[in-house]
Amino acid sequence: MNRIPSEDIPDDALLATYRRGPDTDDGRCAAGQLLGRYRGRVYTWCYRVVGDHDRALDLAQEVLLKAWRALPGFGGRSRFSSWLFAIARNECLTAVRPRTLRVDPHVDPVELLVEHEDPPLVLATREEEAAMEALLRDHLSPVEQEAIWLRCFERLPVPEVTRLLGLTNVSGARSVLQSAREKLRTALARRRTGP
Amino acid sequence: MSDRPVDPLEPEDLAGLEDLAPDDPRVVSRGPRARAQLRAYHGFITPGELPEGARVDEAEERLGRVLEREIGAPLTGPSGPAAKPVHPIAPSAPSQDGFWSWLLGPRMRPALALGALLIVLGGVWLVRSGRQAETPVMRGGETPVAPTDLASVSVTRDDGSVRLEWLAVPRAARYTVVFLSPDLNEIARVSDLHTTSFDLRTGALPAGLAAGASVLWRVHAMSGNDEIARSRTSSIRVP
Repeated sequence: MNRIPSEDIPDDALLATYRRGPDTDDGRCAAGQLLGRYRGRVYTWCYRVVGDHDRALDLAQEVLLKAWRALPGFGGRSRFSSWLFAIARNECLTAVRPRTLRVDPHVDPVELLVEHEDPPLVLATREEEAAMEALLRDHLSPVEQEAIWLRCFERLPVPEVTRLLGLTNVSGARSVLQSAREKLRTALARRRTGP
Repeated sequence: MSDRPVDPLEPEDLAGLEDLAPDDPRVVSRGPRARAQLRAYHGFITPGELPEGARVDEAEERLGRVLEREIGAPLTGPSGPAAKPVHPIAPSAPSQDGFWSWLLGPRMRPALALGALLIVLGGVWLVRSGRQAETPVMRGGETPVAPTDLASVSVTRDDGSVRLEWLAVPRAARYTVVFLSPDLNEIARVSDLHTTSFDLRTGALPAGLAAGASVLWRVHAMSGNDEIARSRTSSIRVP
């Protein structure tokens, strides 16, 4: 296994070695290489979300240890990298969401989106999610849809939304989000006044 | 009033989409959530320029120690602590407190006298040789190189061909695959690729590649004339 540089060994090959003998030296070594090669990425992602070194380090440690403990159950239905990203994303989201998400069920979710920079809103069911997606598709441009989703549901900071969308304008994602909120506000007003 | 749970991302939500661009019709048809989460995944895989204040080296070292302890195996590979440059230990020097007395002490006087003499002689030599010493020296600064953060892999397929694949890089307009000999000389190049894969097939190889040869390859992501990312160099056997 060590005859070729370890960075050239694909994730799948390391996973296969791990699965052949999770408790052997080779298996543990493969798991170590696999998780170890992503540790910088996990930390960087956590840092981008929380913006603080110590907090990001704690989060990254939690993510990697969770992944290590869950590795025996990883079925390979997705790539290892997307599996690890899902763990990192969910861990970071839990860390940055408002501590209590108590939302009045009578409040329109769109109103929360429009009125809050960091809306206290989580889509709890697939139906809610589908309704929100349909609303965004109906009223916003593709880049506005993604900006709103990344900011409001992935809870990423505005500079990170700017980076992910590859925006090069001076105000970055801020102006895109403003424009999206304006369009949603108009849609909300129209909905209230009826057809 | 309700206390709603966090909406989880399941790894399967991204399965099969990883190599597609967020504006690919197959992703677009899945809706804003899939597009945004795929974009976030690409941002995770390709971190790009480090955010201000991030201390990645320090984090990697600590996380490496934690993983080694937890897993019970040494981490190896390019980002493992073992791969970090090791600085030679400096020879022991006298403590700060006794430094001046040590330097000016009787044992150091002959060395100080010799040092002073060398300085004087050096000054005389510089004056006699005119302005030669002031001739600028070309240091040959390193050519800026894009970060090696473009994830890539080669896969041998059932028909014997080899597929070179990589992840889409945001803002990349095209990709260039470069093939190198084992002694790192460029032997072939395929430019202006607008896809995130390239197939090597027997009988249709780029000029310069010989069937059965072991070569190295890497891919460069280009925006205009600028290289914005490149993959690590990996080895393959040409089909």
